[in-house]
Amino acid sequence: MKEVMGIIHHLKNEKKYEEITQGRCVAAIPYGGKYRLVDFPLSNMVNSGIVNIGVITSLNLRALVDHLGKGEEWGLDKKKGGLFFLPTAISESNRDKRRLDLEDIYVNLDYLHKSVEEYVLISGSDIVCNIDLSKVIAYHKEKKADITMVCKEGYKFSDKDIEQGVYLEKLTSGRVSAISLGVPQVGMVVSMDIYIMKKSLLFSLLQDCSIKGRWDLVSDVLLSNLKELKIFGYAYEGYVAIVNSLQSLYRHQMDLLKPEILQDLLFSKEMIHTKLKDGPPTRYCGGSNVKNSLIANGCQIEGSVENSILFRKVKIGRGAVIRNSILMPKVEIGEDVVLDKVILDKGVCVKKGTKLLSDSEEPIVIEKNKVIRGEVQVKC
Amino acid sequence: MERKECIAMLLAGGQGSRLRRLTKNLAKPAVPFGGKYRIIDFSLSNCINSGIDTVGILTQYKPLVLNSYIGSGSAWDLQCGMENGGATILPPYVRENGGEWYKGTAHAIYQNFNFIEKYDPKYVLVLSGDHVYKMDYSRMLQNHKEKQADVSISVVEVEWDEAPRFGIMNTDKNDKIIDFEEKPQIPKSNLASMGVYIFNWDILKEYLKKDVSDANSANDFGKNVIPRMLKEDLEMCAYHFEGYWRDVGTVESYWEASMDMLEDTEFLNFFSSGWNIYSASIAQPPQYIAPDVHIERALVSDGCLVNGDLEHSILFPDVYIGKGSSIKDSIIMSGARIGQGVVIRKAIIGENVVVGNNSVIASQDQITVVGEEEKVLSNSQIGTVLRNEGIDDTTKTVAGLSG
Repeated sequence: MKEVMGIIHHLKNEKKYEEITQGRCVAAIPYGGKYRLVDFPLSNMVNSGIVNIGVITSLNLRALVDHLGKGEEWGLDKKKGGLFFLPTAISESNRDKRRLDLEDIYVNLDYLHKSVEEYVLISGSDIVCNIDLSKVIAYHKEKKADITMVCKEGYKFSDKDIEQGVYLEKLTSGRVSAISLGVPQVGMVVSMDIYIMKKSLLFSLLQDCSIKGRWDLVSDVLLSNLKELKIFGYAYEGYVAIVNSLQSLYRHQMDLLKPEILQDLLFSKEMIHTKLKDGPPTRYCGGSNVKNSLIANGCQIEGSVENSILFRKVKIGRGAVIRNSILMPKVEIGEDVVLDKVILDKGVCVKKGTKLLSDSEEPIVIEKNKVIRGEVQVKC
Repeated sequence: MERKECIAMLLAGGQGSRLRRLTKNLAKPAVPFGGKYRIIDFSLSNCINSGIDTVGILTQYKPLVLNSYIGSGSAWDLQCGMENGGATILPPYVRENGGEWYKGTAHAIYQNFNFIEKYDPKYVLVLSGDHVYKMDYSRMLQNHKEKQADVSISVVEVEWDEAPRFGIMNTDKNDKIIDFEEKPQIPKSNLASMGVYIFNWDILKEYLKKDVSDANSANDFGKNVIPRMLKEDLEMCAYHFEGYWRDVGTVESYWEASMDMLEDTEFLNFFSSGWNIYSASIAQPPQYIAPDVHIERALVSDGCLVNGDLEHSILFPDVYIGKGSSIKDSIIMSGARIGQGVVIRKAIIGENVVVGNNSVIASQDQITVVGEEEKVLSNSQIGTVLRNEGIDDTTKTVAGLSG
């Protein structure tokens, strides 16, 4: 796929999951036991043969840069092409509302000019799927489209997230005839925030935007050019999760405990790559009891774990009971702790005997490196 | 080239024939160990953790797996750089007047004279890549300097009944080595050589030259060079190592050392930081443990799908265990696919082995080894070492197991 370059755009909805994004951008949110959200779009691009990829980064970039490095794990530490970090445009107050901020791309125009590829594929960083993008590109060419958007039929947002969706009406030809922001109409499909177009078209769109001073790809460009531009919708058949809120972050990670979804997303022929870490295998001690859980290397488990996701180097003490929870790297759980529906961020330490239980749709979230002791906390 | 005080030469050419099927396609140091490592990881990690950043790795027997595993050496921070000699693979090679295989351990070092001279070291650390241990070589070097020794040999106390398997050192009060016996029937001490030597390079040079010009020599450190040094009364010092050290040269010792890793005692402190054992990891998804399984006293690596019961066992990356299977006291290597209703007891299952449904792999007393890439048909009963061509001969249908 030497004719296509990739751009992973920077999402500005960090506030939707503030508890988790403190100090990280959306792309760097840990996901699925050993990944970060950016791994999915990046691996999909690389697996489809794209070798020149720019990642737009906010100022909260330390975790992301540390994670991606030179892109070695994705085979992007190359002389030709490779991985590029593109700084986001200087922040203005109204910019948070932009879904896909073309100004971020405009300020990095040099990078696009320097790149030799004919097409550009733009993807959001909160789209969790294992998609063969070369099929999207073939579809784009076959339809002689100006812009192709990837969409998913029958995708269900949770109630709170509906307003964040972009919904498309498609003709039988595949051409997009209407776009609705935040309000789904009958028969509409959901946009997966993945776009492909010729770089030359992007240049002229950027030119337009800079004249008008309006920068959102969806509301300022696509909506007002539905007639002028041939916009097509490629229907993706596989599993997809749009992770745009705390609730969806929790709910969709729990999806991974369903074998068919786990297979489709993580155990498929095309691998989702992530930063490689050293660490011993996970140790299941005498008396441990683990069921239906996804677990990364380096954990030590002495207690019970059920329907849960454990990131690297998590320690579970004797007699502890962990249910329906997500424990990020280096979390330490003391003896006889009980957790149900809890997200513990990196390095959280829960001392002996503590109980944290959520009865609500939203999980309890404990921020990075906090120490919790002797508490009983129930969220209803 | 900056002069190095000490460089390491790692002897990694051994066949390890007593590991039977485990070394069919790879050298002993490349044998997988402990759920995600290879045996050579221990020596390589010890080197970098001890501050030795230049390592020559001498390969000969079936080096393909080892070569690609070592790669650039970056997994151990041993990539070649400006100040860092890094890891260099040293196979036997051809010269103007012909080439030779490495005849013995000393001959192998002698053949790489130029490599060592390039770094002009004061000391050369000679290691064998087939032991499991964590050791700070810099302390041994310190001791070597303090004792003003010509040669230091690291020793460890072994059980008396095990002693006849090892090279045994007899020392005086000051830890000066006065006698050395290779695999003695009646050992005079229980201090076994760990295959870790420090030589003053000037002295080693001289003795390597003497050794190759001796037509009767087998060109081996243990058999020839060390005895000659003793005879000529060099200053030879035993360095006492205290800690976990295992020779994993036989199937039995390999299995036992593996099972040691499952004990709750901190034999190797794998979970403590500060002295990491590095390895070249491959990308794998996290491991998944299915509902309704029992898993206890086990080490499991990334990429495993565990749908059956697991007790007192080790799974390497990317192992699939089918529903209703039961695995106990066993080691299953990367890429193995274990079907449904399979029973495995006290066995070592090699890489990419496929075990059909309802098979039984178990023996009364001994350890069963299934070599890599082998296929075990459904409903088989395997109780002895398999041979590729002979699977059917040792296969019996076990009736009623599926029910």
